[in-house]
Amino acid sequence: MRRLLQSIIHNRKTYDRPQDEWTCGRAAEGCPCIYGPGPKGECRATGQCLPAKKGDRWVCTRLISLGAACETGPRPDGTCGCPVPPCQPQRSLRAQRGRLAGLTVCLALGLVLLAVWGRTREAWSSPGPLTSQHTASAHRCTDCHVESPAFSLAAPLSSARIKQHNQLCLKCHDLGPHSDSPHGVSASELLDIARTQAPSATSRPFALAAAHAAGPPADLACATCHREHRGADRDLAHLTDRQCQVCHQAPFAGFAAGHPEFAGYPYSRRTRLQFDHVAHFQKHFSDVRAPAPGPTSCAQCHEPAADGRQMLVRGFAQTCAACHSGQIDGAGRAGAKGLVFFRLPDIDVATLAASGAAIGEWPAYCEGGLTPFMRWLLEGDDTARAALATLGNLNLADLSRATAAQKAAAAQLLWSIKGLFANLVTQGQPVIMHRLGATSAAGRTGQFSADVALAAQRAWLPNLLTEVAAHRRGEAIPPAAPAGPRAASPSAAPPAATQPATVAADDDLLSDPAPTAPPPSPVPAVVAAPPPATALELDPAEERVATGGWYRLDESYTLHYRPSGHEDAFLTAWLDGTVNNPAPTAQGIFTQLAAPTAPGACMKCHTVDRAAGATVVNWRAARPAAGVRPFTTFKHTAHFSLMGTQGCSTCHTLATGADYARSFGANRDPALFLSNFAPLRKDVCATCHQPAKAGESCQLCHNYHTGEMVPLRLPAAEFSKPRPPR
Amino acid sequence: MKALTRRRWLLSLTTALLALALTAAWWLAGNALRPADLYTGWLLLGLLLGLAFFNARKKLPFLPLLAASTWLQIHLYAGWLACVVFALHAGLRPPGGRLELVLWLAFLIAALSGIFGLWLSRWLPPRLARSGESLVYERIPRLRHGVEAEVLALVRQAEKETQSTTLADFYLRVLAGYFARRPPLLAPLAGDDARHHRVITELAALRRFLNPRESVLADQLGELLEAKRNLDAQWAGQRLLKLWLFVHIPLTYGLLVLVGAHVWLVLHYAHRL
Repeated sequence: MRRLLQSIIHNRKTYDRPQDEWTCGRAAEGCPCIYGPGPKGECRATGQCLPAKKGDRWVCTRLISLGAACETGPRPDGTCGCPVPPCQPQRSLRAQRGRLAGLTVCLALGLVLLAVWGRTREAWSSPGPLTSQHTASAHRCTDCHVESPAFSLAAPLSSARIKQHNQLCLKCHDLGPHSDSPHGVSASELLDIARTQAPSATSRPFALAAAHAAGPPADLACATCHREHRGADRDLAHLTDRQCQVCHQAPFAGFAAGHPEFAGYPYSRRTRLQFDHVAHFQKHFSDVRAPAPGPTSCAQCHEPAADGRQMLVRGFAQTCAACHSGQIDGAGRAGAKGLVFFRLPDIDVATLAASGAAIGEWPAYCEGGLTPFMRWLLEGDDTARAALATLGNLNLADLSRATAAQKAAAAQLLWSIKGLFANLVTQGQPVIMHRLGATSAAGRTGQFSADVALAAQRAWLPNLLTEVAAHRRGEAIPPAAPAGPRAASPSAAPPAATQPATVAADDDLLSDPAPTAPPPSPVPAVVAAPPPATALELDPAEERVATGGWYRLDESYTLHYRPSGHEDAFLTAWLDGTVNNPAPTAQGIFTQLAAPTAPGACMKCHTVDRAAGATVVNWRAARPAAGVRPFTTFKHTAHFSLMGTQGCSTCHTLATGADYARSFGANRDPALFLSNFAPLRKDVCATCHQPAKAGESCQLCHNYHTGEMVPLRLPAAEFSKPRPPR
Repeated sequence: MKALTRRRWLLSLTTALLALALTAAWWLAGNALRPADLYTGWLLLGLLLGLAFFNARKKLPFLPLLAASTWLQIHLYAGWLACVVFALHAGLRPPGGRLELVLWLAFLIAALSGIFGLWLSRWLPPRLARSGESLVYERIPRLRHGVEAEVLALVRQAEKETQSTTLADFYLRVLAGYFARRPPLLAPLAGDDARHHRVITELAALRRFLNPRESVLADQLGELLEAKRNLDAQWAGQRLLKLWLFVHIPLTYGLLVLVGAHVWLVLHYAHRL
């Protein structure tokens, strides 16, 4: 039987003090003193006992556990006869552990001080690296955080604090007027969507139902979805499908299971260019009379945008020009190839003369009234505007029933027309620019040719400059001689051959008209002399400006502008400048230019949209608007390799029965339309977009922040600002 | 089933169910765009304070709070729960921030040391009880010293009675070094004491050279060697049972300081976690 090492006899046991901070240095040797170290670790050993005095004798009091009374006994002075040499007390395990704990706390406090008040506090207190895009713009915590004014337990969730932080985000990220609203759309739009979106009737997974039941928090912080301080490569925009659907009243399990059918996607409006795919594919491209063969693939007219998402229409030269350029520059037009810009209108000069009005010379056989352009230019003159107002809709060609005031106004208008003509001759383009205003005149002059106007003036009203000068001086204008015969067209009578010698010799009229102006002549100088038999014949005037420009027709006393081709600056500028102007004159110009038969035939393809109170001419086909994020995105280039033998028609099938042309014409609402193509079907996408295949995450096709994205408003100085020392 | 086993099963199951419910709630809160990290953070803070209070409770025996054994049970199972909540709150990957990383490591080491201590306190005491007499840790050095003195006295007695130095030589050659040696820190985890077996084997081999009186004394020597082995095992085992607390408790205090700083920083800067 094994012998017990510890004695169970009560007086043989020693008393241990493991809770004490110090232990006797001789404990490890098996002979600790009975007193143990003091509270500060000092050795208190003297002897094995403290002798007691009984009467006049000292007696040993050594414990039985230490061997009871010693043989030597106490010394005469009362000290122990068995002295214990002093030891070096040692800390107990408990004390050592306490010291280690204290050291650890000090170390932790040091770290905390470093993180909160140290020079490198931002490096220490940052919960993690920022994403690379924010690393460049955020240098201090307070760039993105509002510091709590006091230690508040509810601070992180308080609505005001959330909004304050959101405002810091919006300092750089301008999300538009409805930045606080889901998807950046207004509350009224959200209500409309909620009304039209029926609650989902399909069964949902428990997790989705539970998340949906909990609903979104009342105040959404930007950081709810954008979790920063998670590393440079963190996807800040990542959300799970369940998180997306928390706010939606009709959640569903997945794309194939529950996602609503596409409602006309991707056709949310009519095309900006009126191009009937059905008619072209079924009729025009196969027409042997067409000047050029039709395209053999969609890629001949369409190309992906730089980001691979939208399919764009290639330029005019690559698509339509082969067949339609002649209709624009007039080469293929049967009628007039240019539009009338200026005309000497038919005015009843006989009646005016009879009423005593001095009108000077005026052709007797003019036709037509003021052109819209002339009316626009004349309205810039107060006198002319007053005359036009007085005349109203009065027929200028018959003033026999006009009142005296109207006759006076007609005479005044005639002089305004003469003045305008004279100004065009003598000053040229600046007249137009001055009348329209310098900013809006760009392009509207159409490189107006003052030389053509000069030639016209010499042919039609040779004394115009003299008469106008006299009229402006208030001098009496001699009565005009009866109008001469209608001037011949320059094609038959070159202007140079028909000019009076005095005028023909003076080519510098524009630079100094007054001194060199010919003397007033009551007799029209226009005499259409037959060309010499040996002279070369002139081609028709409009043919001589085949690539566009200004020409005159003497038989009608008109100045014409022939479009130079596609994207003619004159036509586009006047259309843009008048489309939104409600003034009758402006609308008259727009109506003239927008007519399907108008020179240039702009509106044959380019449509006019009226939306949000403004009317715009769509000069370009749909393009990805810079900074505008749609709700649904689709990357065409990622799907090219998935197309079958049908090519693009795998998804885009022609809607042969749709009356595409009805979407245009008088309709200016782009939302009222019939598409050339049938809407996409969800099942086509769902063939691949399943969890085990191409995935069906909401964010594959949808953006959360939609609408116009203003570029980041980062102060330029921020990039060059040195980072604070860490 | 024993009551202890039943209690363990019951508490383990309750903790597991609670952890499962917390995980589900955290997951649902995340899906519902709620600040799940804020919720788990506050819960973790509460758990940490509760766990730390176990040590304080031991120092306040006069307070009429639950028994220390009950607190130990609460500490154990709340500790497991805290590990789950910590994983939900901070994730299983080290965070990128410096202070966050220190905090993460401190919790991890404190938790692992606690788990190690729990395992040790379950695994080691039965082995110590089987190995021999249960001893008070603080008395072991003195007992070891006593055994060593007895061995020395026995060797001297053998030399004196038998005029033979066989046992004395054996003491000088083997036993003196054996008694001077202290077992290494992790000896209890290593299993049997190979050095002790080697000494016993050598003593057995020595017996052929001993006379009858020496053999009797050698038997007594063997008993003392067994006592020394038990002392070493008890000392090493109990030392290990105390030393793991050198990691767990100091780190807990440090962790509380770091947690305080973390909470302050969060409340100071964050607006939504």
